Amino acid sequence: MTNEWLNGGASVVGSSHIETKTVCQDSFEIAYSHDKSWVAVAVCDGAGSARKSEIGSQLVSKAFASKLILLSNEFDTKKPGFWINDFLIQQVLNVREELRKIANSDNLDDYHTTLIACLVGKTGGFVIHIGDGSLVGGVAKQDQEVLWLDSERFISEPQNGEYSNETYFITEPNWIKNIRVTPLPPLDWFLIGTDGGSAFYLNQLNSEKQEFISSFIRDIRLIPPKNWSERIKEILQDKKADPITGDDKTLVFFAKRNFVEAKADLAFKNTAKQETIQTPKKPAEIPEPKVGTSKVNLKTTNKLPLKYRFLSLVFLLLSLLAGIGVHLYMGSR
Amino acid sequence: MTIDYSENPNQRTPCVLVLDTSGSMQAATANGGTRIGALNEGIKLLEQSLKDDSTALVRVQLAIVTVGGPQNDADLMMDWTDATHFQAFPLRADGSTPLGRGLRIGLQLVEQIKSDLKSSGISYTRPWMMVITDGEPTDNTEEWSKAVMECKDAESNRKVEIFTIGVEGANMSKISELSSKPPLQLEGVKFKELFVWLSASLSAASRSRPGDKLELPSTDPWRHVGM
Repeated sequence: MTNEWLNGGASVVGSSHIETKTVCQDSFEIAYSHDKSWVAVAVCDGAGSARKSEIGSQLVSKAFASKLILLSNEFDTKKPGFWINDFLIQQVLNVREELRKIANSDNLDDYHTTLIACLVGKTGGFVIHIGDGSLVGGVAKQDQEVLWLDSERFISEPQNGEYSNETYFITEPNWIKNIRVTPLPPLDWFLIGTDGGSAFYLNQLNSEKQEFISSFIRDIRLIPPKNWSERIKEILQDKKADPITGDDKTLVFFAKRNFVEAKADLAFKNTAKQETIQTPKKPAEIPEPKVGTSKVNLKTTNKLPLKYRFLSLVFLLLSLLAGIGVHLYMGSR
Repeated sequence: MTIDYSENPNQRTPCVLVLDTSGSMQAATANGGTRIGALNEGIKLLEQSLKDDSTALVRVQLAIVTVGGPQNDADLMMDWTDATHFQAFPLRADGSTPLGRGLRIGLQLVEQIKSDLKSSGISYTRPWMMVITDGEPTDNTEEWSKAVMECKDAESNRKVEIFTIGVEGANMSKISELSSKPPLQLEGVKFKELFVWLSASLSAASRSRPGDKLELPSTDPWRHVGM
């Protein structure tokens, strides 16, 4: 019973979508194994620019939650391996085929949606991720009166394009280039959300907002799990949250029952990177404009420092190898 | 480049202004002022509008390239500056219109800021380059062709969003070569309205989220309807 997963979550329409009278394009779906020791959750963020993205996000989240939970039986008898990747890729193909039927077209642009979904049991699991949204979770260890939330920590970060207002969708023709499948360590708690929901618990450097997370979990442990969803909805709808994001917001929290019932206060052991500040410090000095003397030499380029160039080269080589791997894998199918 | 991002790690929306400050901008306006005077008033209003918008204030970055002016050349007049530090300053009109060279400086600045933001771990939206001119480019054919080619390449490769605005007297057909978006003509000297629009548009761009369709405010308050 101690491995039972409890949850609460909500999707709410963002303030900018209220102004434009747009429906909530986020959706999420949860599925449990019989003994509740495994949970599958899929969270999708429909693109604001796509006409029917709420249909895309609903269909994809339902499909993934219902299919991922089926894998929990396999995990009892099989070791993790490449068969998981095969299974996941097949599910993407299936859901895209379903969308094509609804769209009556090969073009799925009207249904653009991101996807982050995971299957988690007592010994860990995996995350499948295309686009933005995120998952943050940890193993909690009790040390006398304190429950350290991050004895082991995991973050599946959002993936954007070069520009921060662009992301990737499962509905794009080149989705295979952007799919990420990552093993999950054993977790005691995790938060999963769309871009709007992530803004509550992740800062712009993609580190967890420790103050929010610890006060959120402290607060939620004080109320019965059946009221968690309502409480999360209140947090997401709080007007004070509008400056954080005007986007639709989905946030789902999961915790093991023994973690929820542990008699100890919460804290983070390892301090995250600096939180994002919304207002800069007062400028110490205002730079004078350069009047008529400064020119840019068209022949020079602003090169990266040597160490970054070296890291870029290593990253490029790794990306190339990964690309070849995916190509060979797809070619062999 | 001396921006200290540690004091403000918000995502950025960079915008380089390529402004025609050639001799023709000394032309008198109906209300007894000059075009350059109206442009300067507009830039002041841009500063104020950005400072009145708490999001744009911490996210927008500006650089200014002038074309013409006392140096009779295209010059980097203001290097990348966060809106919070931006202070308008008067521009002087004189000389010819080496617009092609100014555009190439602008594109260079765009690449420079992207590289700088990337290495500082700051996320950013696609940079903008706004070009405002009232005349005929005076670059030689080779320089102008290079500028056109580089602008088209940058636009089609999604490196920058280019907006071209012609003030009365501008060779609209020539500046239409720079972008797939047709140039817009300013109504009279409505620089103030234009820069209020620019501030609101940059604010919208700086707030835009992944998957959102960027809705810019209407250009009606400043656009010449004859276009």
